[in-house]
Amino acid sequence: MSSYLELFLGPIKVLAWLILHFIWKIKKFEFQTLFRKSWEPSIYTEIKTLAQISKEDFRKLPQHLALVFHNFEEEQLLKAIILKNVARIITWAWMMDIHIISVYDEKGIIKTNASRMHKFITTLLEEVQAAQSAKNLKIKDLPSLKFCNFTFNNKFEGNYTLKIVLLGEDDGKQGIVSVTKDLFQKGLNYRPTNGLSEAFNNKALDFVTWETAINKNVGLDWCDTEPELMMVFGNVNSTLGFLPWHIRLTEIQYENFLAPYFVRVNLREFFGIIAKV
Amino acid sequence: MSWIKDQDDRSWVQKLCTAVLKQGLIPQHVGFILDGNRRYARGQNLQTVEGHRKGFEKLSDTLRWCLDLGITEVTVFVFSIENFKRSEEEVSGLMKLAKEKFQKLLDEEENLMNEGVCVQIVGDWSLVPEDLRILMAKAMYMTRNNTRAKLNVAFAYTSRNEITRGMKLIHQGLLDGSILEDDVDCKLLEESFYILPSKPLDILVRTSGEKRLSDFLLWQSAETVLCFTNVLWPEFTYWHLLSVVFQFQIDKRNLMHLNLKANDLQVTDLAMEQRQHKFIEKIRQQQWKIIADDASRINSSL
Repeated sequence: MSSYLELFLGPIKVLAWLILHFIWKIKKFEFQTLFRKSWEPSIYTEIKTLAQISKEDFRKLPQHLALVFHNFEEEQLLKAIILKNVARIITWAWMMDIHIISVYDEKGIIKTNASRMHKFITTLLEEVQAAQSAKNLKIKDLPSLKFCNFTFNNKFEGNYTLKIVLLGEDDGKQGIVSVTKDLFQKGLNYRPTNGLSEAFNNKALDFVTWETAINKNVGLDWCDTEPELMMVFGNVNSTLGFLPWHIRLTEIQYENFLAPYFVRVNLREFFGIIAKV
Repeated sequence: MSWIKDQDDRSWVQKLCTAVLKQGLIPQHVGFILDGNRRYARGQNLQTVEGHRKGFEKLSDTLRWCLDLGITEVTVFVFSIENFKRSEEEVSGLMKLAKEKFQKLLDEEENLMNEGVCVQIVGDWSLVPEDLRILMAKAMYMTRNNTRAKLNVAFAYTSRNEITRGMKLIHQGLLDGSILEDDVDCKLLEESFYILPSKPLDILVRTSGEKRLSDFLLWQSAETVLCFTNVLWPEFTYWHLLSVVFQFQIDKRNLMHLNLKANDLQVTDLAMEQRQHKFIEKIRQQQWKIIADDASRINSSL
C-alpha cells in the first residue's frame, strides 16, 4: 500500500519542485533583465549625475573596490562592449573617489586584454573631462593611472591616484601555491650577501613575510588596503576564486540587477550599492 | 542541551516542503557563520553568554535538521582567533561554555555513535587552553571512525591561520624531501588543512545580515554559493534552512553552467600522486598521535 502511495506521490513532488523553481524564475531577475534595453550610454548622459555625487552621500566610501564578473563566455561575441562597460564602471568608481580597483573574472579574459582596457579607460577619462568642460561643471583632474600587475605604463614617477589590478583565477589559490614554492626556493638560496631579507634565513617564516609575498604576487604590494567592498556581477552569488587571502573582511554585495547581463547596469544602481556600505 | 537534538519536531507542512525540495540537489557540505548571538542577547535583555547559550541551542536544532535533510557535512564557525581580543569576561565565559559543551559531547558518546557522527575540530590547537584541548581531542578520537555524517567545529580558527599552517607543513615536506616542488598544488595544500578529509563546500551561510566571510573558509568558499540572511542566529528556523537549500539548488545550476575548470587539471603522474598521498598520511598520523596522547590524558585531568 505504501509503495502505491509513494508511486502516486512521487510525480506530485517532482511537479511541485518544478513549479517552485519556475515561479522563482519568473520572480527573479532573468526575466526582468531580458527586457532591459541593451545600450551603450555615453558618458555625457551620466556626467551630471556623477557631478552631483559627493562624499557626504556615502556612510563609508571604500578605498579599494573589487569588481567580480561572471558569465563571460556567453558574451564572447560582445567582448569589446563588455570591456568598454567594465571601463565605464571603473570610471564611475573613480568619479566617486575610489582610488584602488581590483577587477576579476575567473577566466582572466579582462586580464589578457589589459592593454585594451588601458586604452578604453584613458579614453573614457578624457571624455569625462571634455564632458565636464562642455557642461560647465567642475573639472576633475585626470588621474595618474597604474595597472598594478603590468609594466606598460611605468614611465610616471610619483604617486598614482588610480590603481587598477586585473586578476584571473591563477592569482587566487594558484597564486598562494606559487608563493609557497617561491618562498621555499628563497629560503634554500638565502645567503647573507645576496640581498634577500634576513627573514628568509629563518626557516620558520613569519606571517608578515608570507603576507608580503602573497600581496606582491598579485600586484597588491602597491596598494595599502584589501578590498573593502566586492560587487559580484553575474548570476550566482559566489566569489569564484577571487583572491581568497584578501577577502577576510570584504563586504560582498550581490544584487539581482547586477546579473546576468551586467552590461545593462546603470549608474544609479551602482551608486545605490556603494551608498549602502 | 544535547549537541544534536533527539526529536524531529518539524510540522507536517515542513516535512512536505522538505519532500518537495529533495527532488533537487541537496548540498552535501554546508558552512555556517553563527552570527548574531550578542545582538540577540542585547535585544532580549540577556547576558552575552546567555545569547551564546541560545546560539548553541539553535546549533543543536540545526544539526538535527541537517541530518533529516540529508546534509552529511556541516562546518560551524564557533570561535575565531580574533575573538580572543574580546573582553576577558566574555572570553572566559565562552571558554567555560565551550568546556561544558564538549564535556556534554563526551557524555553523549552513545548517541553520537548511534547517529554515526564524526567530529573534527579545525583551528589552531596551540591557542586552546589545555583542559579544553583534552576534551576536544577525546571527542575527535572517540568519533574518528564514524562515517554517516561529519561535524567540523572551527575553534580558535581563522582561514589565514589555516592557510599559513598548511604552507608551513608543505615547506617542512619540501625540506625533508617527502615531496618535490612539482608535487605542490592547490589540492595538496588544501588537504594539508585537515586531519580528516573533507567534502567540497557547497554553500556558506551567514546570519545577522553581515555580508562578510570574516576569515572563515576563505580558501574553501572559492567556488561556493554564498547565502547571507538577515535573521539573527538564535532566531534561525527550519524555514530559513529550507530557503538556503532552495537557493543552493538555483545557484548550483548556474555555477555548473559556468563550466569552471578544476584547479589542477594537468595530468599527474602516479609517482607524484603516491608522494602526495604519503606526505598527507604522514602529517595526519603525526597529528593523530598528538590527539591520541591528549585524549588519553582525559582521565588524569578530570
